[in-house]
Amino acid sequence: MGACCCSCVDAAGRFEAVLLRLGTSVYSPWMCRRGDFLRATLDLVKANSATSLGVRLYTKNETDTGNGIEVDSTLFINKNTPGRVTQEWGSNTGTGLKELVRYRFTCLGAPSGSWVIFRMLAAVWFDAVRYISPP
Amino acid sequence: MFQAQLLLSGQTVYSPWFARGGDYVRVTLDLIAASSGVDKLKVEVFTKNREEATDGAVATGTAIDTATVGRSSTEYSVLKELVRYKFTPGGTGQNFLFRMLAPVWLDAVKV
Repeated sequence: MGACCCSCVDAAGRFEAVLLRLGTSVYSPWMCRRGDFLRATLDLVKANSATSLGVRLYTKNETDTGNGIEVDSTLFINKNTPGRVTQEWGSNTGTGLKELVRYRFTCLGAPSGSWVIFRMLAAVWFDAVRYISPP
Repeated sequence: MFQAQLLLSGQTVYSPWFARGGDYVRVTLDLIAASSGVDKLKVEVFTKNREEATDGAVATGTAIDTATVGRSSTEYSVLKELVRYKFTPGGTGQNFLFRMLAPVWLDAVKV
């Protein structure tokens, strides 16, 4: 695994006009975590036939080898109509975010040969704030 | 991005102007605390060109209008050269602690 250099985060976290065919499941490059929480936006440009796109988030530490683990198997994007949708993952969802994160894109549906065109908008990173009521 | 701003009911404020980064913007309000839990904080996006000397006009989109603690996003379009937020806290005698996360700029793609 090549470690992310942080200067490439925007390039790794943003994808323009990607075509994915039915049955294909691909990972994005790893990108460095820039905060405890991530809000990611999928822009589904076009879905052919009854096809949908699933976007899941995976994470691991720099020292780990392998594909990483899914942050939260119950939190993911699944979209089949053109438009944008935002999903948030963070320290309060599933395993939380480790040092590296990446997307997993899966094209689902029917019939065979169908496809989706999509992009991921720039990720928004942030950390939690706490409001403590005055005594 | 704005961190931990406190607004009281009746104080409608604009943010500073900032340059448009694309034809569309997705903005996210993080409402940290709202004293009533019922009265809402409204966030709109205003826009104007540099040559104009006005307060600007509301851009095309749906305002965030929420009393729910947490993150809320919306999208605006038809943006001119400059944009800024307008914050309108509702109710009477209420306070709202909030921040705006970094905006996401985008341009349309066509297939």
